[in-house]
Amino acid sequence: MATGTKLSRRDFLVRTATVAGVAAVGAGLSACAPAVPAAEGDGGDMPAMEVVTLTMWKGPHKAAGDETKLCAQPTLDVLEEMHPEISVDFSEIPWGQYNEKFTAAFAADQGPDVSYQTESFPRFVNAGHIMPLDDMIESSSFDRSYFYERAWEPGTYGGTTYSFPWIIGGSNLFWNKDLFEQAGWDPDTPPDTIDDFVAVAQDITALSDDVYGFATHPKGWHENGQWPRRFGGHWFNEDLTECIVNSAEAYDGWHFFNSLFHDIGIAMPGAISGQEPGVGGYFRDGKVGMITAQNVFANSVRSEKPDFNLGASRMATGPAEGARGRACYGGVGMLAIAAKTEYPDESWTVIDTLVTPDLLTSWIGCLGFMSVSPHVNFYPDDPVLTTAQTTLEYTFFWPYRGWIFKFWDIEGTSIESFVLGHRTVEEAIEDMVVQINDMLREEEGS
Amino acid sequence: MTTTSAAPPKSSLPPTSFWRRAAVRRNLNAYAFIVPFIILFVVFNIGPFFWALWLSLLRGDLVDQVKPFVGFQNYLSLTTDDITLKVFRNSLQYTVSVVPIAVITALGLAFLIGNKLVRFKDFYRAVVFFPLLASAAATAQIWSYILAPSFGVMTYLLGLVGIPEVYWLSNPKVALYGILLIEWWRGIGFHIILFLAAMLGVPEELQEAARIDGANAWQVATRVTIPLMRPVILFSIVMGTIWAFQLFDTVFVLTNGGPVHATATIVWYIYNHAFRYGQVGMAAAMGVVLLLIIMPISYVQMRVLGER
Repeated sequence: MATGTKLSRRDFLVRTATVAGVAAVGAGLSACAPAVPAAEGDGGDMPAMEVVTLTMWKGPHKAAGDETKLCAQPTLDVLEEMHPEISVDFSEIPWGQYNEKFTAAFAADQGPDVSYQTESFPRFVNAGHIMPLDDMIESSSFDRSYFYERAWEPGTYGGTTYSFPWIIGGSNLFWNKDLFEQAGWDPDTPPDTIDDFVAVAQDITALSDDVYGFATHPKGWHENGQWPRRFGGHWFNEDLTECIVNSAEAYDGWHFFNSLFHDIGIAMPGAISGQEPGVGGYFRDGKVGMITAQNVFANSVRSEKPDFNLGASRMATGPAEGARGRACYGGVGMLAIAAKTEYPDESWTVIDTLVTPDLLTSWIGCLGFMSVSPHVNFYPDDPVLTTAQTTLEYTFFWPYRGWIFKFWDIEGTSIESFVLGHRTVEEAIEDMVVQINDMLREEEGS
Repeated sequence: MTTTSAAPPKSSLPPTSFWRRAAVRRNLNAYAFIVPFIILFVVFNIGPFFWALWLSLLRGDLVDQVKPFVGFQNYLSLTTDDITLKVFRNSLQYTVSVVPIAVITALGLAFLIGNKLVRFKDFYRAVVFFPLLASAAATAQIWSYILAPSFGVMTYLLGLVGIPEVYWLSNPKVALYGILLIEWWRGIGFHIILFLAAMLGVPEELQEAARIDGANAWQVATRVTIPLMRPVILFSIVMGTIWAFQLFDTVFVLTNGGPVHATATIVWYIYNHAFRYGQVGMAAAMGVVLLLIIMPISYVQMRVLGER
């Protein structure tokens, strides 16, 4: 529309620049604004149904994209059929970006409505970014005994439940049956005691210069940290205010573990096992007789090498009494709802539905994890994975605390230093305990 | 190249308000063009800089709604943390190793590619520049197989000349140099392209005159060409130094700072504090210290380029 006012070149440039600046700032601000829920329906005579779109983030447990394609999306399709008023926008967040994505999102109050959480979960609970679930659990009459009792522990703080157990995983002993047979051992019988373990490993190591009885990543905090437990040691006191993994029993475990590399010599050198193709790769390639690994490892071996003769069982027992003697890593992956979500009811519906037997099997069973419910067995016809399910009783959880990553870094680096022969066991462990206790004083106020 | 510039005529207007000055009014068009950039620069650079300064005085997690003020406590903690001292030492050791190696080899390769006898120059330029275009994470993953013990390509090649297996990334004494090798490969293209461009700017007649005076190729290169490339070489050193202090991706993907913190760098440690340890104040304090290291280097750069 002409106004009769002549626009000079200078005015034009000034106005253009102003508009561009405002547009740039506007675009930046709009990128930070919460997504508007999608409303679907094509009108007509039917009243348009309000469809709520929820964001859901999870770290992948398969190769990039495969979890979405094979496990998540088929499950979410069923969920959306059951609840047409809900649409779930699911994203795999690579583990390498997991911390910064979640930290940045929650810091900006833009956390996903529903998220998968692991050991560092308390960071977000303490900062008030996670919604307590007790009221929803009560009002929906959800039967808490549906899950293993201990599976609730990691998501419960100060008596308040902040998450739903969803995934339970643990490590067990995997062995190469062909190497057992070549070494003259019964391929179907795993070593029962630590002495048996060493004897088998020695015979396998004797097969060839580049074959070893056992392997572990030198910095593998989940697996290596179990050795003091198997000998009766404890990592922490009851109230998590002191690290006590330098007790006499714990030292027995550390020294035994160290001897596997440097004295008995049945473990693949850490300088090799820590590099490509990694412990799993060397095991898959027939260079290693036994490893401890999370039970999902069975699936990757089968997909990469279908004819691999794989055995799985509980770990050989150390001197410690009961389950502690066969201690292995265990952990619970949880579903949580953002405190700032605009759709708490719909988010609850999503997590409540995802743990029903069919959908639990469709997603978590597809990933190869163990069932978090004693009432649901994912693999009734699979002896290897059924065995893995029974080993859950030997698993020990790391503390679910905001400081867990720092703890793992201290632990992993200290163990790595004696595995690589950089320091003695005593130097490494004493320094580690000092560092962990400093951290506990700072973080737990002890 | 020299430029001449006449002194701007003095404005006849009295120096009253900013907006009434002739120089400002005359350049309004230019200001209009840069305003969008200035806005974004303030929002994404200047703002975060001051925010980081403020964060370095606080304690707590980035996700915490309330972070207590602790003054300079984070800076004091840096001085007593063994790993902090180790990462600063590593970064310094890496920088003083990688920069001279990269610049000297790049200079040599630039002379080779720039030689009149060499054909397919564009092809070589593309080849040396290619690693810079590839994703750091992807190249790190590829190098992890090249440097792998037992079956790695490097192990095989060294074995051919009788050199025993080297644990490039798992021996604490060697690992930093394994990272250096990868970063040298990734970054050398940048320096070579700069040097090739600078060599084109060296007047041919000066080199010709030197040859007529009896200088051989080495003397022409060291006494004529390289001295005339000095500002570009200095720029290359400064940029290389800044990038070396900012080393992160390759370490994060390949070694995660190990073995035994042998490859832990300042930025790797900043990342851990900010996103994994929930200690954003410490991360910000380390960032400020890094700035204090890099700032004098940038100052040298500005001075050198300003002289040019």
